[in-house]
Amino acid sequence: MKSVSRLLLPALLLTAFTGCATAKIPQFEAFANAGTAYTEAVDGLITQVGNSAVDANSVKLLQNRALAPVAMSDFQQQDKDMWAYLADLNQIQLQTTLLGSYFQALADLATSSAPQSFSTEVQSLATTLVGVTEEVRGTSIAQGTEIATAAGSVGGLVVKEIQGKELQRELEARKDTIAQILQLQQTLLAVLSSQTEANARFTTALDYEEEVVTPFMAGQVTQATQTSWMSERFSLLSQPVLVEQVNTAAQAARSLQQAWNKLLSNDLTAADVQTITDELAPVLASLDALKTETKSTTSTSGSSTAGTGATQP
Amino acid sequence: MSDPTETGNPAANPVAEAQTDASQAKAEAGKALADPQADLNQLLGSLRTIETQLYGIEVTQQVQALSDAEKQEFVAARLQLTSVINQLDTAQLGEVEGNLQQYSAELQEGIQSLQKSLNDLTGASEWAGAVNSIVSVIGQIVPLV
Repeated sequence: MKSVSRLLLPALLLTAFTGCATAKIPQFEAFANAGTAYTEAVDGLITQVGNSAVDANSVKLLQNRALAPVAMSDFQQQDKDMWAYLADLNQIQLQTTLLGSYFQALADLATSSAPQSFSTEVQSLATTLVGVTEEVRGTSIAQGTEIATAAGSVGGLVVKEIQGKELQRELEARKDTIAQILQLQQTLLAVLSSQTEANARFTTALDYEEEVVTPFMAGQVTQATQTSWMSERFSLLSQPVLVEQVNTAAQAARSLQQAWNKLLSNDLTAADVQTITDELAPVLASLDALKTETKSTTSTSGSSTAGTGATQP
Repeated sequence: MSDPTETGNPAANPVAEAQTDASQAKAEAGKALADPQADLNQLLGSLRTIETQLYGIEVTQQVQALSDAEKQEFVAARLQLTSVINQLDTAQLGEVEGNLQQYSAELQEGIQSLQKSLNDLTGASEWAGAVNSIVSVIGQIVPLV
């Protein structure tokens, strides 16, 4: 029994003295998962922002063409503008994907099964060593099984501690960089929000004039049509869904930055991470629905409208 | 730059107004793009207000009454203003993209560092597995000796 205690003592000491890094592993895992969900949502939203920008530009072109013939050079200039815009969005998507890869690498390390594997291997190794020793001595070793189990536990704890320390080392090395990137993500989403809102407002402005203002000014809204007129007015005055989603993602970026700061100060709680995933859940669900919708459209029409992947001829 | 929203009246001469707006927008955008301190958001806001006005029903109805040549001139000027707005939108994005780009090398470094840590941890358990196999073989030999 003494030998078992001797083996367990370092493990207990290890846990007592350096257990912080190990205890923090679930925080890293939770943060990394929230970060991955965030980058996935932003990536999808950027695609939608690109689509809405091109749609708004197309509406402008069509309104001009309805008034007078458009010079080829003017049309080409609009195309050139859109390619430049979409190219920038693509670059931003790449940066967002890179951030997503970073969070994924963080999650991979935090969820690594290496400590468990190491523990199993060491326990098995100790069992074999006990067996070999018994063969050499010709006598059995008291509590041989307990020794093997304790050896496995210590081995697992040592590796878990190394895992925690590696995560902590990475946190220290990249604390300012990630904080600055998350700050830039908020700036990006603010820009995307104002641009998307302007595009959406432009696209609906004509509808508003035709379906709300004109019938109202002409006294054409009757008792029979007033419910649909009111509903149309409400719908066109409401904040466009995409703008709402971009603003939600901006809120998630702020929450993610706060979570990063809390991870640094070892204060991150499950509730903090839950807030971020709750914020992003409806955005991700609606983007998924959109993907499904696009897939079914593609399979029936043979063409795709999704993505900022418009290519320059 | 004229702002019809200030007066609430449609432009007296929509073609001339649109042309003036487009050329002033181009000049102001050029200045703003050359100045890193310029507030692109504010400039974009005022240009979008003018653009919305130029595409509005009131102005459009006025233009419909003009000659074909004037309509074409108006359309060209309006598209020029749209193009200036497009370019400012892209410049705004480009600025953020440039700032994000500055951190990509360090992010790559972080990813590599995390992957190396993961490989080292996996390597430790593989190493323990290898030692275990050798000892197992020894365990099988010992009873024979």
